[in-house]
Amino acid sequence: MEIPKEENLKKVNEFLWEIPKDFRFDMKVPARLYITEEMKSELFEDRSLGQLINLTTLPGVVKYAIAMPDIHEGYGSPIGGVIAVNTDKGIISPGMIGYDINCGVRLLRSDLDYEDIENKLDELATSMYGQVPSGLGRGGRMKLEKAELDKVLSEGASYMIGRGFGEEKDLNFIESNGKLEIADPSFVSDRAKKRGRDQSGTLGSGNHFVEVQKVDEIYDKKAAEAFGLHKDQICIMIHTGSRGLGHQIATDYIRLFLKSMPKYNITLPDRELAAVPFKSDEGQKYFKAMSCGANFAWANRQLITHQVRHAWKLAGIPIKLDIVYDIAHNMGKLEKHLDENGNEVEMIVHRKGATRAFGPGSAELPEKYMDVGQPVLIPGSMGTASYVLAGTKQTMEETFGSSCHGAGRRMSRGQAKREVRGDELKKELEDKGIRIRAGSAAGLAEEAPLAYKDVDSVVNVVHGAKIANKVARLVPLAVIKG
Amino acid sequence: MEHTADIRIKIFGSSKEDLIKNALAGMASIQKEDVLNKKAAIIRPIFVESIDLSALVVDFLGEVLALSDSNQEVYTVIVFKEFSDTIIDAELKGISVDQFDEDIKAVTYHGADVREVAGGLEVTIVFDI
Repeated sequence: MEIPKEENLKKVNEFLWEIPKDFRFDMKVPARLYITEEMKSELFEDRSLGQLINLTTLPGVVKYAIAMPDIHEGYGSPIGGVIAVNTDKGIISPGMIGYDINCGVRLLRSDLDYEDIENKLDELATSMYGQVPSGLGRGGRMKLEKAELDKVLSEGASYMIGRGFGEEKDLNFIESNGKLEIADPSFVSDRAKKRGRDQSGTLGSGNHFVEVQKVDEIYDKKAAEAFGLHKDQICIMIHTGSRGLGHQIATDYIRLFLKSMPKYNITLPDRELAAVPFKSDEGQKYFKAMSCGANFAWANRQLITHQVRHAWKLAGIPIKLDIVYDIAHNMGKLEKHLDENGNEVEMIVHRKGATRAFGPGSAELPEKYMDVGQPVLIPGSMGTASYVLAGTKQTMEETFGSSCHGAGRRMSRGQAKREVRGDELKKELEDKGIRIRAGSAAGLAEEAPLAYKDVDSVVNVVHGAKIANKVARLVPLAVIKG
Repeated sequence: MEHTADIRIKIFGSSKEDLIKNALAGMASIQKEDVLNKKAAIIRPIFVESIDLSALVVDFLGEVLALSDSNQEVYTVIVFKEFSDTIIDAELKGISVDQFDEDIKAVTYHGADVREVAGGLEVTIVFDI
């Protein structure tokens, strides 16, 4: 398959480029990229552009396939990919949504400022590392029998609140209130359930983390006030997903879809994008199973929130931790957006390494955020800044209510390990005042800041393109990783 | 092989069965360093049926990964009972581990086409990390 070259990228404006539909014979719509002139060269260093073009071939794709500025090579879809598919005419693709269903980010705000805990950070980091199971193959303290696990899959975050791990008001500040109603555990395999049985309340490894952060800068005072954020405030960021349960749901359904595609006369340039009509029997079963994976991930982040709150208590620091917001960045969501003809139609929006970013007035937002838009949480790489942005009206019109999800990798894990030693990196970060509690030095090296793009540049693109506005910048004080 | 976010490996086999054996060894080496020289005493049955040989390699590794994750084990040896382009009926042999070196989320079909090359067969596999 032909891969785009630099001359195939047509400039729309300072932050937006387009690859026209006639670039490749099988494209149904153009491809759009939110990047700057300076970012263009990096696009040709991996296979992400070919993967983006493949998204434009999916049946029912509306308007264009989108790449966010944190775009990098994935499998099937590039990371940072977004498509919206007309549910009457189009497909659903588990490979486009990804294996870590509802991998996402939650931000907690505290009622303390940096000076209140400056001298207690070491103790706090150790307490959090002890309370939140992380690492390779580590299960959690909560072992669920099948009937209880089915409740988690049906009820999401509210299951954990029912068990006393949080407060009812927490649900108001979670995307979809922490639960997709359509979830049906009967469409999740026993194998997937077995993998998830002891993984509630666990971080996993890779780029998943819990960080203690400090608000370093406020850009938008009105939105910051609505989100309850102020300079020097202590916050906690949690990044994890649906663990082995979600991975197995995706694996099961990609395999099923590969067998089913001939029945629907669907041929695709990459098997990993295996897809069937959204409204087909197989499509609906996957959507209900995916929703279980999403609910499991929200329950997971809810239990981790409880563990974090408990860790602060154990460290002897009385604190109130409220949820600013919790968002998914690997998900298929049923939403209404405008199609090519300006008609509002139901679409299944696939976001792979991309964040929902609804603008002001969106019905799903909590009352407190209605005037300023949805908080968009963008974690940086380890040791660098993270951002809170707010969705805009333009986001809804241009990107199906979507924004970037992080800094985006620029270097392979192998290369990062060749260039960085985990123990040296730990010392370097600790010299900068960032406490590190990690299970694996090699894992630390894989996540070295040099392996990632510059998060400031990535965020400046979405801000410049007006698809999400900068609200606050947070810097890390302690990092807990697997 | 390089991959920006995940792990990509190229697997060679002198025959189709050899390709599967080497794919198993490749994945085991990612999951746990130095595991290939250890005595594999745990036995697990495995049965996989797929649409073609390329899918069979991915589906087989996916099944192995699910067993690995559920049982906290790494499998290094396969003993075939039945093998074709679309079926593997076999026994896996492996070892129990305290933890993995790398947390493989999934085995992907992305670019996983089995090709004939000089002296045998080759396939490239991307693991989601």
